[in-house]
Amino acid sequence: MIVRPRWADFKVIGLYTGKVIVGVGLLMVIPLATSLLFREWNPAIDFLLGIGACLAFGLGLEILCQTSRDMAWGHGLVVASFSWFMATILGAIPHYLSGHFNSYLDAMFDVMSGYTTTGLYLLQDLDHVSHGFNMWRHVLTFAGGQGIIVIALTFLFQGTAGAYKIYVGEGKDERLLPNVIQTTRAIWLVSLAYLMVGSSFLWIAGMSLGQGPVRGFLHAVWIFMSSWSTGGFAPQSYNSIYYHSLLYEVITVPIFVIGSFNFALHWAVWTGEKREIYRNIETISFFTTVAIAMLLAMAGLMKLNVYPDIIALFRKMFYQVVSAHTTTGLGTIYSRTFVRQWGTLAMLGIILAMAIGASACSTGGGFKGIRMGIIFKGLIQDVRRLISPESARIVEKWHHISTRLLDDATVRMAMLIVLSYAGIYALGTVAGVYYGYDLVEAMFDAVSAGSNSGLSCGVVSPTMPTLMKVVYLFEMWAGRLEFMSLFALAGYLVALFRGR
Amino acid sequence: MVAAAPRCGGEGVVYKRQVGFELQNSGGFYRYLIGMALEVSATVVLMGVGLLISIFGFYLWK
Amino acid sequence: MRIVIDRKEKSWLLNGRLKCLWLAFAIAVKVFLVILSDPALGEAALPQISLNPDYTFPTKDTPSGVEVNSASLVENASAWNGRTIAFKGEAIGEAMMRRKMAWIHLNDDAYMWKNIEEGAQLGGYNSGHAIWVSADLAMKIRYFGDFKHEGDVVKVVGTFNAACRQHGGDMDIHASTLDIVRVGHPVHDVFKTTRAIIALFLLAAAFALHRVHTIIRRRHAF
Repeated sequence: MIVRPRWADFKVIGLYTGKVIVGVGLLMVIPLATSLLFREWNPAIDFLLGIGACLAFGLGLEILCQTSRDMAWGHGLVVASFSWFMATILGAIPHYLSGHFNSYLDAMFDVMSGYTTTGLYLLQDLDHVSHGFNMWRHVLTFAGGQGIIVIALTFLFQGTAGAYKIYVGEGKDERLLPNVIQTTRAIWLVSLAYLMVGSSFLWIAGMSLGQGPVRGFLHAVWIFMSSWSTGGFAPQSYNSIYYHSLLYEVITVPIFVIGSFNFALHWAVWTGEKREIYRNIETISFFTTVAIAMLLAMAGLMKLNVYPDIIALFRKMFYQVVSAHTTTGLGTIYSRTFVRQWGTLAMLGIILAMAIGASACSTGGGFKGIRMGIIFKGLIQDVRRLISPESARIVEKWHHISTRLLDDATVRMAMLIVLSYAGIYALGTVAGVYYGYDLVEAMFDAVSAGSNSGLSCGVVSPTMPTLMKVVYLFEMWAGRLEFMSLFALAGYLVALFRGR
Repeated sequence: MVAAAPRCGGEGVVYKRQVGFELQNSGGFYRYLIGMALEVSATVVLMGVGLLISIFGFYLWK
Repeated sequence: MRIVIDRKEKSWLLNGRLKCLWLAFAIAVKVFLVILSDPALGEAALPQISLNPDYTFPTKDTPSGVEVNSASLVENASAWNGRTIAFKGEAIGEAMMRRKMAWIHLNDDAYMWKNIEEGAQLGGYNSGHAIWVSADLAMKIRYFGDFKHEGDVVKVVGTFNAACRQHGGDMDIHASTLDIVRVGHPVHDVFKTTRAIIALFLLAAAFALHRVHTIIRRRHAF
């Protein structure tokens, strides 16, 4: 018997969704301040409108749904997915008002791409947008990378047991510290420390490369936010090509690689467990799969003789593969170059890298390295069981912060989530092929959306069919929230109609 | 649940260390710096692997 | 007895495993080398990327210095590689001076002549190329395109590189001449009063709701 959700359940969901939306509204103050600083009056008005709408809606929900009940698991997951959906609709207000979008759906696509740190965009004429708007785009990726729920948790929630459930609903479940509120603050400590160090390095690099101090500073902060959150937005339409600099690439690569590490790994290494960096299953898995993807890409590039010397080959291949694997999406080549210069084999290497993705509980997407490692070890375990005598007890161990025994439930869960990801990649590919795109190109962009990478080979464009935009939006949302929240939301809707 | 990491009764990755933002003694601050440096060196190792693969591919293919 | 047998088998596996791993690695490297060194296997597998006929590509009659657009340069990059071409576009961003040379970026898209704020129709993404030019030529450009400015429309003539050796494989144009076709201008953005009024109204509503919320929360707590 499915229990129909009661009004009390809706009140809990509404209350916490309202808090998250208020958080989003407060986040818009940063781009508002930037617009005012640079005397961009119309963008400032757009942000004031956005803030007003978010605060009014969020506070209205909180007032209507005032309750003292705490969240159960179902509520936490539904709040996570529902509030992301509402935040996308309301966060798109400044986007649409800027006039750079064909429709509100395009604006929503961009906002979802920002929150999920994907990096695909339908914004037109990026090179002429205001500083305030660029700031909003990059703040969206930074906030989305941390998790908009995490932001709300840091400032707006009390440390209740329900808070952990909503934290998990957003796709993280690592407890760095005993209290989830303290965990979110630890996550902020790591991110803000790197923000200060990384932006300073990028600013100095930018100025030495010929950028003025103001533009250099803005670009440094934006590129940092985009790299750390493995987002992939850039302040210019040229993306990372704009800087034409090995120095910039050498600084941004560590930022997005480190940004793609699990926050629990950061915390372990930062609090003294130095060996974790090479013992962790995710690090080992990441290095292995990056090497495989690089071999594939390198083979593809060498067959077609694309680059004239080792340095060019290394710079382009390494940057694109690592950007794809950490699901960042910053690129030092044009989108169409993937198809017109790199060719199918190299594209397959990139697709593999994007599909596998970064680490769990980080800003990255894809299957996640931990699942690759678990499935591989599960395979080894099964092979060993097959070849050993029946009475032998085969156990595999895996190390993630602590050493654990590999059990069947873990492997099963990992495989189910990997299958779900493969499912959304397939959905996007089928949509692309249906509309006439070439198979490899459709697969490239579908995997890019589903794994929240953001590299594109030209399929994503403002003139894309509407259904494809909706499919990609769904893919980005599903990929980021790792399905559980979406299943919970779908289950809630079913229970509404079929429950008793 | 969401990730595949099992949590037995809430331990798993719980740390019994001091919480957060208050950097009470410089031991904490320097530890954070060492942690950062370690993570950056991991990336440098990755770049080395990439360079090796490029050299390997370039010379073997030509 | 059984336990002893299991333990012995397990330790045998552990020792042999390392040797097996080395053997497997050596075999893999050998196979890979064989595949790489055999040309027939390599060439039959993948065809070269063919020209895209929807975009211009050079034939043997194409003169030097012909004007090409950015899309054709990207789509048929290997065909245009090394040729002298002309490229026209709006200078955006800034000129990045690097000692005696500079990087500029020219966009030849739908926003080349007018900004969206000035009323240009939405016409897709930005599209353009990076130009490597001498610093004195770059200094001729007065306005660069951004939110508040419509940049100078500039025409350059130079060599197109599909994967520039000097610049780590970048696709760029090494320009030898630079001419200003149309000087840019600051863009005047008309202040939208209606929106400002709606924004104020929404903010007032939000403030009112905040007061109500505080009162209700206080009442709920007691």
